[in-house]
Formats: sequence, structure tokens, C-alpha cells
Amino acid sequence: MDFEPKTLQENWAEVLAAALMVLALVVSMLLRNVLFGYITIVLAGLIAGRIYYIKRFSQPILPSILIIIGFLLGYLIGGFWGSRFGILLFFGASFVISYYLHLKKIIVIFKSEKFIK
Amino acid sequence: MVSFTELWHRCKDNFRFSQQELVGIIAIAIASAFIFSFRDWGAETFDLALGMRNLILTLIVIFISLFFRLSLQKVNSLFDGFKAEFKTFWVGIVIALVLAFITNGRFPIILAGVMITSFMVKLRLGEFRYGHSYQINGVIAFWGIIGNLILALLFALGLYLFPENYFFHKGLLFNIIMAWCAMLPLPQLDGLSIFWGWRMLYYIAIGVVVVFTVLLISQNVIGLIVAWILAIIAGIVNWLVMSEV
Repeated sequence: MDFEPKTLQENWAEVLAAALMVLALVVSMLLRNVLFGYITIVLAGLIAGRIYYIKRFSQPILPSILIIIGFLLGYLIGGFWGSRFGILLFFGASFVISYYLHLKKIIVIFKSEKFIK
Repeated sequence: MVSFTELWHRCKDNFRFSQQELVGIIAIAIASAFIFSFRDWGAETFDLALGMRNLILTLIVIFISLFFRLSLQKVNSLFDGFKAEFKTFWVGIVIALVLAFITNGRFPIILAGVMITSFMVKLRLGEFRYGHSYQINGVIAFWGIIGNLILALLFALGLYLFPENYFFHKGLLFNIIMAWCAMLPLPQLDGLSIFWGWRMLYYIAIGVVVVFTVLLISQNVIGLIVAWILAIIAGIVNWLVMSEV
């Protein structure tokens, strides 16, 4: 069986997910204050909900999900200072809230017109 | 160059802040006020009253700075026949907050957003190179940085007249840092608009921001006087050049 090395163009999603996993790991380990850690994961959940709303109809959707899960996994692994269940809960709640707010058009995606008559 | 009357009417018809712009400005102001007043909640022990006072003063500074900067960009864009809308960099706000949490407020940054311009068909009729121009887009973005430097000059003057005043100190610090952060050539920041729109202007902008930072942060009389003289000369030159265009 031959294993051909993949180019970055073919596995960009995995590389980005790994990079974000490392970033999230570093951030969660540096955030010693539990409250700040929870606030950060809530903000991350809000951003993730927004990204999922933007990409929800695009194909394939797996790269976006992979990247979000990579970040969450890294944050959970580095979550020594607080409760990992709490991190998961806050992320999930803020993800759902953000997605709902975007769905109901309470928060909108920026759109500008190219020209105005 | 359009006349003042024409510019007045353009502003009367088109100078507005949309709801999504206002939501973005409020979010940036609250987050940035928290970041910039992070270390001002008491010297030895936590002091809620002092912290709230500093937070509110910082919030006022940031609202003044944001509205002045964005208004200057919008007026300048209408002058050239474009409509400018502010796009908030939401991920930038989160990055700035997380950085403040990690560094305990020692490294405050602000990644606000970018002005997106729309070409106004009627207002551009008869203008040189009718159509959307990335160069003008870059100039409009540059005016945001100029707005920050103008406010930094005013706050520096206030700080000179009232030393140790928290309001003027935060105003100076916020506007200098915002000018620097806006210069970064990242997506969703004004720096990238200037970089791609007019490369020479980007290098000039870096020089201008460096010079004014050195002159104003030094907090001495000579630096302040030189900064004001340079600013007045630049304003006169800009007015003379624009009157010939």
C-alpha cells in the first residue's frame, strides 16, 4: 500500500483544527482565573455559533465542524483550573444561543451594497 | 473638490449610523472600556466604587473616540462620493478580551473593525475615474487613523493642562493604541484597506503614527508643541492640495 503525502490544499481543515487545538490548549492553561476561563469559552461558543450559521448550507460542512471541535477539544484538555463539564455546558449553551439569535435575525451578518443609486 | 454646501447636503441626506453599526459600536465600547480599565479597580485591594468610576470614564472616552473617528471617515467618504459603513470585527473583540484576561490588562489592544465603502452612482458622476476606487478606499481608511491622532493631540493637551487626570490619560492611551492596532494589515481592519489601496500611503501612515506616538507619549512640552505644529502644517497642506483636486 502506497501512502502519498497530502498537500496543505487537501488537508487544510485538519491542519487548522490542530492549530486551533494547540491555541485553545495554550489559552486555557494561561487563564488561571476560572471566571475568565468560563467567559472566554462563552465568547468562543458565540463565535462558533455564528460561524456554523454562516456555513450551515455550504458543502462540505465537515471542515467547519472539525475546526470548532478541534478548538473545543484543546480548551477541554487544558481546562485544569475549572470544571470541564462546566466548559462543555457553557460552550454548548452559548453556541445554541448564538445560532438562535442569528436564525431569528436578531444578530445579522454584515452585508453592504456594491453601489447605491 | 465639492463645495461645503454640497458636502453639507450630502451629509444631511446620507450621514447616518445604522442599527448594526450602533450595536457594534456599543459592543466595542463596553469590551474596550473593560480592557482599558482592567487594572484600575483599586491599588492594594479591590475597590468597586473606584473601579466603576474608572470604567464609566473610560467608556465615555471610547464613545467619543469611536464616534469622532467613524464620523470623520463617513464625512470623508461622502466628500468623495462613497457611502461608508462600519463592519465590526467580532472575533477581534474576543481576541482583545482574551489577551486582557491572559495578561491581566497589561497588554490592552483594540481590534475594532473596518469601514466598507459603497459606490454612490449619482455622487460620483463627473468625478475622475468614475467607479469604485481602492485608492480612495485606502484614503478613507487612513482618515480613521487621522481621527485617532487628532483626538490623541487634544487629550495630550488636556493631560498637559491637568496632569494625572484619568480621563485625559485614558483618552491619549486609547487613541494611540487604536491608531496602532488599526494600522495592522489584517482582514477586517483599516490597515489592510490602506495597504492594498495605496502602498505609499501605508508607509506614510506608519511614519506619521510613529512620530506622533513618540511626541505625545513622551509627555513633555516640546513634544506637544512639535506635534501640534506638525498637525497644523499637515492640515494646511491637505486643505491646499484638496482645493486643487
